[in-house]
Amino acid sequence: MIKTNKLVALGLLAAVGLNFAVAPAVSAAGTDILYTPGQTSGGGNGGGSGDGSGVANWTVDYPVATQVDDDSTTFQSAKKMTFQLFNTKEDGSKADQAYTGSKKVNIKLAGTSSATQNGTIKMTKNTVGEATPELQLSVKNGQQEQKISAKASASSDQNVATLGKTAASGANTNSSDAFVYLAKKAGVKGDSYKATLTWSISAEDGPKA
Amino acid sequence: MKTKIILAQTISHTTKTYIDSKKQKWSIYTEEEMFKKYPNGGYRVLGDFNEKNSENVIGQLILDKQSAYIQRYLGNAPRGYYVVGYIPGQSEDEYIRILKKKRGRVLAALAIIFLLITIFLGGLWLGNAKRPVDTPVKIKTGQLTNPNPTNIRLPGIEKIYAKVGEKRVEQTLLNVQGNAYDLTYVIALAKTGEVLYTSKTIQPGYGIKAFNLKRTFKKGEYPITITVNSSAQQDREKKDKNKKLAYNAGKLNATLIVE
Repeated sequence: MIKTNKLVALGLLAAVGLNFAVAPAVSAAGTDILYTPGQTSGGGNGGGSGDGSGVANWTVDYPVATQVDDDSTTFQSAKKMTFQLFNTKEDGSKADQAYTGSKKVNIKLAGTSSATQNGTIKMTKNTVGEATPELQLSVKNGQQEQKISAKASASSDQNVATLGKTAASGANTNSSDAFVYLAKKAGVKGDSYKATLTWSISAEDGPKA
Repeated sequence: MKTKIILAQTISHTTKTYIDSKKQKWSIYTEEEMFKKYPNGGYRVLGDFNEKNSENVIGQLILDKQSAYIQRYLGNAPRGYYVVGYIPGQSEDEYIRILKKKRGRVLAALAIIFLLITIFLGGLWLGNAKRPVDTPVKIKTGQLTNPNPTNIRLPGIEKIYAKVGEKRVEQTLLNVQGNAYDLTYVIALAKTGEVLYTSKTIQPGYGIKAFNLKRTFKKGEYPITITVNSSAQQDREKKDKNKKLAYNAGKLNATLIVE
């Protein structure tokens, strides 16, 4: 009986001891984490945004799909895509999260192997076909169309939007539109087409007053 | 009921002693010793040892200045009890039996429960320990939550920090809640295109807290690109790897700072 009791006591001790040993790791693993700038320090102290983290103080929204129907064949009938810039803040005090920082964020069309000699982009049809439709990406310059000429090389990325602190004085620019339409149709009426684009995003200090 | 007085004996040829709750010591024979002493039986049990006075008490057991009660003999040990031993009475071959509750079973049950919990938690711990450092975890994004499913919302990254000679990088790679697509991060050197890290698929509302680069670096600053590819959940469920997905990617231009 004494032996049994000793074994039981040892078992209890081992169990309790192990439980204490493993408890912190388990509880940490199951915890949701609130994302805030400053939490991912990464060992450095400059996120480049004055927030003391490896995470920038800006967040960008960009269009995820480029799909055009065959009735969008001119700049006037183009499909609009919007880029936006927000604060990376979690304090909950701002109803409007439009970016208020001092960074200028440039968004460019990255060089693509689908670029044509004309600066358009070869597309993929939703239905299988022989001909290759082409996409024209444009922005507005005043009320006029300014075509973005796609290039194959990454070194010649074309600017599509400039957001954030774009001027030394005045409010930040936090929204910018781009437009896509079919420069060359293919297939039959009612088709729609897709293109895969890459938005190259970089930040720099905005102009100082 | 008339109670009788039984005088207990102190026996010198046994080392076994029973100590009751009043810290009184009683010399006893164990069951094994009784079996050796009486291989064919031939002893009489006057009653069962009891420390408290109750209805079943039939007498008192006295040894010098210590005393206890004797209750009616219960025959075979009741369920949940075991025989601790026998206190010799004043007459030869007369004994008082000591019964005790089996607490060992409760303790053993508790120990088994503890062990099962330990095994369970230990399994979780081992699972976590073996889990890759870049396993996506749930991350609440509060007001950063994307209200527009036609756009990808991507927190900017300008600098990533690593230590000289170490591959591990503490940096959140996030797919905010509300995004309608899974994301995959690919980090590469801007000049050569050498891929330093490719993340697992990160679902909306999840993120990677840390990851390991493919190699270490000397102290310095290295321009990098962080390409964020999008894929739709329904496409992943189709498992059609050959299908070319037409979703746009974001490419953050950043710097790897090795200190």
